[in-house]
Amino acid sequence: MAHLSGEDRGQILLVAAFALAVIFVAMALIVNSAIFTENLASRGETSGSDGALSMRADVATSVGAGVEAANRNDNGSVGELTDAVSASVRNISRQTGRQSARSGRVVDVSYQSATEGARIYQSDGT
Amino acid sequence: MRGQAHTLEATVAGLLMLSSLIFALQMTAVTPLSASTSSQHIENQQAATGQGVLATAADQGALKPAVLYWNNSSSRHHDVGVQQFYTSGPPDNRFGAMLSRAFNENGIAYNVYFRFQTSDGDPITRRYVYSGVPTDNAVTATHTVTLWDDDPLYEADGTPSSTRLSTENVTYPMPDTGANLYNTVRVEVVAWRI
Repeated sequence: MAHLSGEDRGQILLVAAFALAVIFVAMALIVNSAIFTENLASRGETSGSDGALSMRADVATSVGAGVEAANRNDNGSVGELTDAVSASVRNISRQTGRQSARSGRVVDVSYQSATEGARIYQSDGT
Repeated sequence: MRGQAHTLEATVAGLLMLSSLIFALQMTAVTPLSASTSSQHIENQQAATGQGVLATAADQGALKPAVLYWNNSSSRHHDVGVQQFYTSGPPDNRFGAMLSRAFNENGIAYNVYFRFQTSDGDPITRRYVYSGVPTDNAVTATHTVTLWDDDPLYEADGTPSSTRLSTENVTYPMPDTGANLYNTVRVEVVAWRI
């Protein structure tokens, strides 16, 4: 067995290696935390809700145009008007829903109710 | 014997250092977030730009005129080549100008597709602007526009013409799928870095 005496042993090497190893591991952790922060930063905070909001705006515009078209083309009676509007809403719901399904969105538009309004017009053109 | 002990200790120290180095190098792997042309940050930005262009065009009333930018007599889009879609830059309308300002000067290529549907719900895809096959890192932005029977086709200078989608013998190639409603088109902008 070796006689390992006093100051001549190579422990300093071991200690230095151990210190370096600790530094490397610490560096790895630091780099990792940067990756984690980047990952957090690239996620939107409103992920999911902005798609629904923009779709709601689109649908509102489309239904508005449908009401306009019904007023222009099917203005014989209130029944005709509401039928035309609800037909447009059904079409919008079906077509927009199918289009949005491509990007994993489900859209359902339904007709709820209508209030009969009044229209002012000049019956005599002169 | 002392030399052997030193050798042993040095070997152990070397192994310790080597294994910690390997461990540290493993940590600097290339992730989807490392800076490159396919970085997730860039994809997010391009998707937001595309979405912004579409939303602005829709808000300013430039999106539907771009969809209906149709030459009824030659039954193709205005000023388009032998193909039925634009290949050398965007069309000469407001939506085209917006696309060009947002993308063309930044080294980003883009395609624009229109996705209509038949009355049975089958999709009909038409190219509008086509720059080539997108890369794996392309992003998509979409906007849905509803076309109505009373919507006019648009002239080459961007003014509405007297021809409407409900006019007899209109050459716009999409089926009429409803009473007042003509068709629903999904405008898709696919952008990627080149």
